[in-house]
Amino acid sequence: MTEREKLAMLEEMLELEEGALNVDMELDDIEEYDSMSKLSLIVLMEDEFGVKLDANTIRGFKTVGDILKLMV
Amino acid sequence: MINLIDFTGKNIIVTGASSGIGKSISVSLSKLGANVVLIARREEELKSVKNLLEDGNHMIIPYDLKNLDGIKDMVDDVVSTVGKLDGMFYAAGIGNAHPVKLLSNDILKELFEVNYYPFIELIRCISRKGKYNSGARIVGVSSIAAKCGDAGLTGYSSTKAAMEAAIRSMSRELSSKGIVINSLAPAMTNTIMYTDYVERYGENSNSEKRLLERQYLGIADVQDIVNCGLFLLSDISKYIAGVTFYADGGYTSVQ
Repeated sequence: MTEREKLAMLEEMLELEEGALNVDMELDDIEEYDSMSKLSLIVLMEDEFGVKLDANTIRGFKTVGDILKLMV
Repeated sequence: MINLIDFTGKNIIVTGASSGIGKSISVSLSKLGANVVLIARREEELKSVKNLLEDGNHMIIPYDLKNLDGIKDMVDDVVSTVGKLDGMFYAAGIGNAHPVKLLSNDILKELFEVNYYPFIELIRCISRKGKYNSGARIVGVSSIAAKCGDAGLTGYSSTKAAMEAAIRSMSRELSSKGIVINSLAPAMTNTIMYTDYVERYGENSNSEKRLLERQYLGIADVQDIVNCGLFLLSDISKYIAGVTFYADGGYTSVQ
């Protein structure tokens, strides 16, 4: 999966326009990245990538790129 | 001295018996004299639970309840091995939270395939002539989520609400056979579901603070829920039928 495809997946999850995200964006600056989105992210990572996220890992995410690193 | 709760010689099925509430109630039932039929997917875990039981005519059945077609034969096997059944405690359940937008039909189906369909199929098979003793008592483990909504719980809560609704009708219908059914609805209990929850939201999260404001007796110990289950399975609750029994630390009483 390309970087662009992963970004598109997150854009869809956050209900953002296509192309709205890039890897350097700070998660704190993304209004749509709220507690429900974090739950969505947990489910998405588990269902699509078999990755189990815990609260500490999620707290450690600073940028969009940090999430992408685990989307493998 | 009298012992109000006595299961001596009673044959009781427990599903979800390899962990959590199902595991603990199996141990308690054996200590109170029951022969326990332990059902769960994982054979190794079932064996280790069986080692924790007091002596009795116990039986382990490694079985995936999603396989609905095999349940009838399994019940027949159980009855021919241990005898007619006196009760069932249905603790099998999965409960991962899913936001609506990620609640695909596959996920929703799986929730019902574990939490709901096998429950009905087991009762259908157990309530056949010659498979149960009059006075048999069945308990389905529901959840406060069936009554109180929360984000992410659409799928899980609907399986539990379906179970509770089915129990009201089935209890009425099967009462003529001497079978009584109730739901046991715990609030957050210290099982793997709670461990997962803490992992997801972190320790002392805002989510947990909100939960504990309502669930004011705190997170339930497994044994607290087990004790309510023992009560509902035993003869001393014989006048309680078709209800949802809340073991929720106050949760549903606070608005």
